[in-house]
Amino acid sequence: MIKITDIVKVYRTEEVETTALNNLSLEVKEGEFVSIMGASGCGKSTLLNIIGLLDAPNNGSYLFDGTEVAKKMEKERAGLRKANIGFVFQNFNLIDELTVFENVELPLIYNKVKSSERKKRVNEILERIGIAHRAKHFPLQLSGGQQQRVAVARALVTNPKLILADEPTGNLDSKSGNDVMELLSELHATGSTIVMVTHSGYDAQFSSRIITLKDGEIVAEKVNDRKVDLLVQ
Amino acid sequence: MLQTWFKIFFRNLQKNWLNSLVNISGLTLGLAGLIIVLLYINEEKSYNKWNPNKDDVYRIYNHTDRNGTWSVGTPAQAVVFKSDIPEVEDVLMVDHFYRDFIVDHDGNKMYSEKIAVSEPNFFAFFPFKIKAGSYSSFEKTRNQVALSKEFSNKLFGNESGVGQTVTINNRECIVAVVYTISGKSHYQPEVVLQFENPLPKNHWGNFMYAMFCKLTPDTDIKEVSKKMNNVIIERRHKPHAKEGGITIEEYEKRLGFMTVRYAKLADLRLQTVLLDGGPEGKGNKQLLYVLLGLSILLILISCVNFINLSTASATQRAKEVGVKKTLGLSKKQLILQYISEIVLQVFISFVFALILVELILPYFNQFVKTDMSILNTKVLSIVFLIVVLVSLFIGSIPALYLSNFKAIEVLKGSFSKSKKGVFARNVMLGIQFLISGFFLIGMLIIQVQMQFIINKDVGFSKEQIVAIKINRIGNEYAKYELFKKEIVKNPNVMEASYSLFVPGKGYINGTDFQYKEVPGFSAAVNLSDYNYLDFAGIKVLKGRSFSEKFASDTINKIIVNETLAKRIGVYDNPIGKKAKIGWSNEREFEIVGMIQDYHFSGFDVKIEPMFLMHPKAFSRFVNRMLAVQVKIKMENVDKTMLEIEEFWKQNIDNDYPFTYEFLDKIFAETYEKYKKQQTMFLILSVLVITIALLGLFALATLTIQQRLKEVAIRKTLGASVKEIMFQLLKSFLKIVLISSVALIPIAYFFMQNWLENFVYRIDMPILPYIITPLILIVLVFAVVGLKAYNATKVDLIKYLKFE
Repeated sequence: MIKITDIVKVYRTEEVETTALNNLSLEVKEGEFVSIMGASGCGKSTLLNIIGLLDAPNNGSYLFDGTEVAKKMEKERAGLRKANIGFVFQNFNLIDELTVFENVELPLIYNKVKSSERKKRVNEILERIGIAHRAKHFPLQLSGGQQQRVAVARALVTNPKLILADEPTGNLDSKSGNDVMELLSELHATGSTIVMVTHSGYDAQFSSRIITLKDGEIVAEKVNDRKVDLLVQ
Repeated sequence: MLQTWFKIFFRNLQKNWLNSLVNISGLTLGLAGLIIVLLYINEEKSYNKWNPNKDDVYRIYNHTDRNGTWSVGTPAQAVVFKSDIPEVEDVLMVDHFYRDFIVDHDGNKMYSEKIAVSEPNFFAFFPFKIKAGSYSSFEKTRNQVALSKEFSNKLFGNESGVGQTVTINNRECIVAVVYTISGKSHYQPEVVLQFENPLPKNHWGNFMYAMFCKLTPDTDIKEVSKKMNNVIIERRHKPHAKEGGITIEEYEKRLGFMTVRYAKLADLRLQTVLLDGGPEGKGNKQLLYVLLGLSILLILISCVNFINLSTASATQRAKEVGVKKTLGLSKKQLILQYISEIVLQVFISFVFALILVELILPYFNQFVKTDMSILNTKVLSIVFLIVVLVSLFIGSIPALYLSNFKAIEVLKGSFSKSKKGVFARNVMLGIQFLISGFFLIGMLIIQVQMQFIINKDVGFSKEQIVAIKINRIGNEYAKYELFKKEIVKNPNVMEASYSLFVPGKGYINGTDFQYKEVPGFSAAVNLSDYNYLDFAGIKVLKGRSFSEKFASDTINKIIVNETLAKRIGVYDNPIGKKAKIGWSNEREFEIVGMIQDYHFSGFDVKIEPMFLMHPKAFSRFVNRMLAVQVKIKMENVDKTMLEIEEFWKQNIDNDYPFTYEFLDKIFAETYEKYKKQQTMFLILSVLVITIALLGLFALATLTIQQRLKEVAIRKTLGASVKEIMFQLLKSFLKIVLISSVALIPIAYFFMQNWLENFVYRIDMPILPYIITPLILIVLVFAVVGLKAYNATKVDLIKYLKFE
């Protein structure tokens, strides 16, 4: 599904040049649930942005589903993004002026799905995530955990090939965080491919493989036996 | 604390330089406009202020439904008003305009264009300051004359002229008074001459003089005017009806009653009853209203910009508020701080406005022919007061808005925009679109109307014709005939002719016209020489022009214009019809021709019923000539004019200055007046629209900035550039559409009113009402679209991460 080879990402400001990713290579197979960990500034968010086609590397190759995308223009990346990738952010990134239903509907509109079909699919996913009773509420009327569920629903509604989660539990209390992680596990169990950036070793235990970054390079990789220690909470 | 406040204020000013620019420039222009308008109002209101009679003296006009309002009255009225109405203390009859004569003192000849000819009681109404002599001696005999100090100095040097003899228009007069005028006045004569003989007391047809009535103090003019109307019925209409053998009711039905209109001396300068205000002209009330409206609108738009921009940018300052509140600043202190910020900006605008006015004023003075100065404490203090009120008003709204932010929410980052604030902001934006749209429509319609007027056919040829002024030199007509015969010997002169009305200068003489049962009405009496119609290129539609072949043409024949023929219902067959002419119905005239209507007054003035007589058919008026007209070749104009002047000085008149005007220039001046007004409106409209657009730009910048996170989310979810732009433009377009709908009836109402000021006007065009909303939409696309397009290039990662 994802094959990254020797990618480099350098950020330049007037004074400093920071190498965020340094000849990094990574492969994620379909159906995998990969966690990326590491200290602040290790490049994990940069990696996620590149995987999510929000950003382009300076150098190296990125095959997404067999297509080379590293050198593609923003417009083409946008096309691939909306058809294939769902995003879950730490701060949810819901649009405050739209209701839960409308927020979830948005990617379908941009994917030119017909109105009746949209309605069906949004209702299905809200049902599945367990937030259907809140469909007419606005984001600010919901708790953080509920908001993140809506964000997950929005990420899933297009049936993306890949779900990217950037510290999905970072802004949540542990109970809500756990709920969200269980939701992601379920998705994984039903065959979704997920890449997640996290600080939390606990959250990482939900995934099938944990990659640790330091200074833009992979320093450790561990295949998880998927035993979640529930007592840690 | 003050230091911190200043620091934050100036840094914010720097950071939001666009907002500050929009705020300050808009308000500067609005205030500058207001200062100029107020100066102008003050200037016009200063007329007659010095006069102790200003609140008791009224100028009286006469109105009939048939003839409209006349600026003049008849001596018979003066007599009966004074005798029959106790409130009327005194009545003054004086010439409506100045006359011009040579004033001759022992061969020292001085020409004056400002001679008021009056009844002896002139100074009871206009008590100018006496420098020498006395008013009582002036009133003693009719050959007493009064001179202004300047004119007296010209004539007599530094000696007092009192008691000296001067000759004016063949009259020997003795100087009784030398005066100075202490302020701007309705009459500002250099010489006050008296009518040679008392005015005929029983003449009701002789509407020739300006009439002023002095009332006892604190009298209600409304009551007095009712009494005047009654007196006219009792003293004029009833005897007149009896004479004609009809009842008064029938008389009223057939001829209508005459009623009076009035204007107080204090308000005379800006009264709008008549086209001509008096010898010193009148204030341009229409211009005044337009300017006043514009500057108020500019200030309004600027206030809207101020409020919109400060509330919209408030979110950017939310953190500052949060921190300040946490650190213990009270709400009152906060409000005070934010008000002060805005007050400071308004005062900066005020200072800029003063500078701007100082720069513009010379041009404006030239335009309205005044010499105003900015150093007018009254106007400046009014504007200062307005500045204070405006700044408190526009300061308090954003200040209250800002200071109401809840510290904790703001600091936690969960602060959100208030829906209410957004709605109010949209309403204000809508008002701005409305005003801008109004100006666009106005600009377009004014353009069309001006083109229409300027291109209107005046009905005669005005090229190459010079009107040479002929003064009161005696035997004018005979002298003209000599001139006409001799001047064509000059190879550069093509022809000379005469008509009493100089085209473009207008209607100066009228009388009653009666044809069969058609109710009598006032018609313009023009006198013209045999060759005049041909000379001026005026088309004869029916019959013939005057000719030397018919001796009776100088006795009882007239030529009418189309308007007159239509008025008496003989348009199809006017020839041979006989009409009674003159207030005493003494003579009968036969129509021998009908000419096409031409604009004998300005081209913007309605063409009145008019008829032509040969000058000799109207012996009383034959020598009352204003100008002779000469058609010359366009080559060597200067040389030709010098030769004509030489001939004129040798054979016609060597005393008065030789003055002439080209007819096309007379008309060009009126064009020029319209062009200037048009240009001024154009400049102001562009200003208004620019300020509104700048406000829109700044507001769009802010609101889009606030929506960048939303844009980033949408983009991540795969929205295309088009979809995002539509999303951002949608709310602005909605406001434009709603304003456009509201705009149409408002603009229609005002523009219809404006068009009605014109005698010759276009039908209301529809196109501007279609084009304007389109222009507004295009402008919104241009201004907001640019910002929205930039927004679609937003750095996704930044806004998704750090918001």
